[in-house]
Amino acid sequence: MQNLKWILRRLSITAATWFIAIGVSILIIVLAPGNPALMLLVQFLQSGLPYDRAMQMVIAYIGYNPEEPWHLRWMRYFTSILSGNLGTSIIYRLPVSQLIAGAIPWSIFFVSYSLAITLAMGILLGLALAYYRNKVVFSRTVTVILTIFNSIPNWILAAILFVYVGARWKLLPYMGPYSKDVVPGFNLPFILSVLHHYTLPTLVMVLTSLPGWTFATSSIATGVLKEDYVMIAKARGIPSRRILITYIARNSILPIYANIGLTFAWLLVGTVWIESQFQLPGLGTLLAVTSSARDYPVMIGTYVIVITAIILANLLTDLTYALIDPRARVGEE
Amino acid sequence: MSVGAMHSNPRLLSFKSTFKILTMGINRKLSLGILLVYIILGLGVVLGVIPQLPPYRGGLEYVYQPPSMHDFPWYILGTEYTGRPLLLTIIHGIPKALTIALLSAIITVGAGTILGLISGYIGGVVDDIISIVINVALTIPTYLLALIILMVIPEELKQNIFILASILSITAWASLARAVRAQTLSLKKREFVDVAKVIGFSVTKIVFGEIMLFLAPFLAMNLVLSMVSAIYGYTGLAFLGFMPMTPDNWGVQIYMAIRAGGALYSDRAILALWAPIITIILLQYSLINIATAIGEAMNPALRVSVGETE
Repeated sequence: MQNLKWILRRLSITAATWFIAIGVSILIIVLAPGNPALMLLVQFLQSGLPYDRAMQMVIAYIGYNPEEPWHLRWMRYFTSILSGNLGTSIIYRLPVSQLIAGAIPWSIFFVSYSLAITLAMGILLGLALAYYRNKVVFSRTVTVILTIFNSIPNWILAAILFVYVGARWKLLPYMGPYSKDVVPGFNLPFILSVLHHYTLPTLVMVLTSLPGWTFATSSIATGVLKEDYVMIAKARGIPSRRILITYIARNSILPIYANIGLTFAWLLVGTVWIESQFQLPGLGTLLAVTSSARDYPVMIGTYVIVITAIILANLLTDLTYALIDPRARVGEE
Repeated sequence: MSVGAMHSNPRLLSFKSTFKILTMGINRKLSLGILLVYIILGLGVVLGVIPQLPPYRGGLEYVYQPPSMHDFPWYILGTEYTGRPLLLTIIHGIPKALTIALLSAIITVGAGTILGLISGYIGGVVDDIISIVINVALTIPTYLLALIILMVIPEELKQNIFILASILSITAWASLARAVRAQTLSLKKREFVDVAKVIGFSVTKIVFGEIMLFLAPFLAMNLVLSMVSAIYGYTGLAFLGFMPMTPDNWGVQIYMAIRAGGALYSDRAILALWAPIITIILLQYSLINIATAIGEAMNPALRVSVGETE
């Protein structure tokens, strides 16, 4: 009963957050100076079209009247998002929902694949860094390397690997999600080809998000190392490998678990650069391409989907966290 | 193996501390030095000590030329996509990048601090409302919304560095606001706040004088880290083509070296590709190191543990 109440409370907070986040974002977009439809109208008028004709063209192109007041425009955007009818793409001439539905699986695969590798490596490296912090050469080398990777923006690493490992040295595939001679579907050659093509993009995601995870894990694990039960376990002569796994790892993973949602969001935004750099299908490419082409319906639709995914990921982390750690349910203010 | 065994050996300890002074010190000093070089060069541009950019010259005989000794030292890295000397163009990018980064960091830290302090200290309905605002802003990634806004607004507004800086910090203040709120909640239970109340300090003086002073080092660290993110956004969004395409943005230089300079096929634009990349990474690296140094200075516990791990 208590748990059910807690879950319902979480769900309603999530729903409220979604409504406000989408509502405010659209308000900002609508209120931002520079009405795109008006700019297009001026462009048509300058090219010598009569007013009526220009207006018709704009409505056909953008799908709404440029002289519509902002609050009506906000209402129209919001209701169309709620009803799931996101309109038609200007450049692809396809329903926005169809474009987004095609992009979602690729991005989910890419982000969760990178996230899983980052998590596993980050936690292992963080634990090692904390446990062997007295081994100066090891810990210093790892820290310096990670700090350097921390200062390389992910899009720069993507560009470097794209140019050198991909285009110049041809060591790994650097364009497209799979090679042309496999048949998409649930078969082994296709899956292997996809994994092969995602090697470079995933490497970029992992290398640039690894430092944050490692440092967070290591600072928490350093705290756990000072706990009495670790000291006593050592005194009892328990092998250090077992101490590391059963005592330190278990107690360090809990506090950083809550950060998974944040890392997910960060990786999802990173796809805007990395997917478009390696010409992979997905939400990031969709956003980058349609934004440059000023395809407003797709742009806003993709934005809404990305925000929704982030909010859902946060909810999922919250709920599963409470499963692992019952204190989270009681400690709720 | 254990910490105790390590400290009981005086020779090892003294070796370790010497090692730390030699290497850690150099790392930090180097970072400060790099930042200083950027600031001096930036001031040089603003004060006019460093020459103005020559006019744009298109055409294959001017664009992406190899290094030359002509007009030393400006052509030492060759020319870039507008036919101007690469070194000079990159140096001319410093004042704008640093100003936008600092402005954006001030807006981010300012908004985060004010909201966090008010929310944490006043509590009640104000806290509830500000907490909702913070939680909503936390779910909206800064550069996602920034990208959309940059796309919607007209080109002439993007020339204004105040507007650019505000866009780059549009929701970036949220995580700091949450941290400041949590800190304020615990700080307001301390004795010195009670004493200040008894003496008759006004709420503004307690919040912005006493509590904020306590958080000053933490805020300083976040100011530097916010600069790191702002530079990421400023150059990264330029690389995607959402910033004004001016040669003084390092992101634009990297984009051009790949798209127009033929970095994919030849080494013709290799300097124009790597020079802005190294400029960005060096700046980020030194800022991150300075932020870590500030963080350790304010928290001795961190210094011990990080000093051991680093």
